[in-house]
Amino acid sequence: MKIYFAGPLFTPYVRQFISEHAQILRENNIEPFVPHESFKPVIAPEIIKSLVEQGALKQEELVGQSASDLAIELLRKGRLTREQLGLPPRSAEFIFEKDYEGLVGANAVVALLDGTQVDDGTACEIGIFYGLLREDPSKKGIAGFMTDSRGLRKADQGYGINLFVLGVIEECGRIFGGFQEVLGQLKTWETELEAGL
Amino acid sequence: MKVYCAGPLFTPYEREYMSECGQALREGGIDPFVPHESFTLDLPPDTPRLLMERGLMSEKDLTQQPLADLVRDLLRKNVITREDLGLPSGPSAKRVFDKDFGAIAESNAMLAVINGTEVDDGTACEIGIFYALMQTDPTKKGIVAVHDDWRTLDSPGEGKGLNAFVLGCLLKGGIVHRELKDAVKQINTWRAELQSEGLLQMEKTTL
Repeated sequence: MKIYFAGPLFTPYVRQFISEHAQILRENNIEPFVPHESFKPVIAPEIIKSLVEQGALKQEELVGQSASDLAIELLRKGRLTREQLGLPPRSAEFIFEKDYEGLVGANAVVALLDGTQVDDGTACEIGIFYGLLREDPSKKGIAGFMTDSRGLRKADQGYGINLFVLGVIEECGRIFGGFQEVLGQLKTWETELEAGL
Repeated sequence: MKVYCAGPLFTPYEREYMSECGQALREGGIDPFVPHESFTLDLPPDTPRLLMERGLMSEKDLTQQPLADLVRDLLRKNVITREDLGLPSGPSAKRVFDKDFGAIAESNAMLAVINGTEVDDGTACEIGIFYALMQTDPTKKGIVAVHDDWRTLDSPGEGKGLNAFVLGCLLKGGIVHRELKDAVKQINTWRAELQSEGLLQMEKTTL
């Protein structure tokens, strides 16, 4: 089964959190699409070499990780530009198309709902997946995942999230406060899929 | 032509602005769905008596405002509950979803106000749904966003910009405008397209 892992992936710790949980899914034979992991441009070695020569990269920074991973990290931090790395400019349409493909190919969505509101990108993905699910029986549902204490305190009141977003999730899934429960839900959907339900 | 007006509706001035968007469309002969305006109530007949007994309303108030508006306001301020009024409580997420999704499914276009530090999550979710439905429904023409928030404008502006996924969705499924009047113009263009394609039901031509 394929899932799309949606969430606010703008800080290193959220990306790490999502990657760690995606790894748990992989260990359970579930194939996750993780937007920030799908962003893996390969940087040509001669570009790295020239950046080191210019002093934009330090030789010691390259120890213990691949040059491409380092370059992507520095790109996110704003220390390097796409131009310096020889990468084409990345438009909003490009990001959308890439992630939309991930949604189209998924059987379910895991959506990390933390934050003062559901992240707008995540909310948009929830909406798209629900719209697709209505016409595609291979799409099973959306598992919301909340670790935010402000939401958990309101677990009995829809986790304090926007009523429309909550309504969409509850039409085709549920919100869970623990990842084991998320995994349990995905396993149920997987069994249903295999049984052709 | 039916247009779903999506946007944040949580403060009195947000609701006022969304109503203004709806009104701008209505003046052009378009049928807008504005979620907070559609919040209809099937009020029991003794509602005015109950509210007056509690000192929440006077006879005079009733002559100045429709009863449903008064009650909506009191519910929003949490001065009374649905139970107090004998209205079905039910899970309200389900009520909101059923009504708003039904309207999205019927609409030929979406007007989305995307102002805020980020796009309101309900609005973003509605944009996503409309985009997905557009893929298989030729009577859905597109999404036009109204965006005029200093915090997320690239230029001039001082914020972090719009979420790239949401922006990409809007650009693939429609267009972003700074001014409401340009958004209305776009909707009229789509309306003309629908008419020439014979996809528009007979509609009222007068207000």
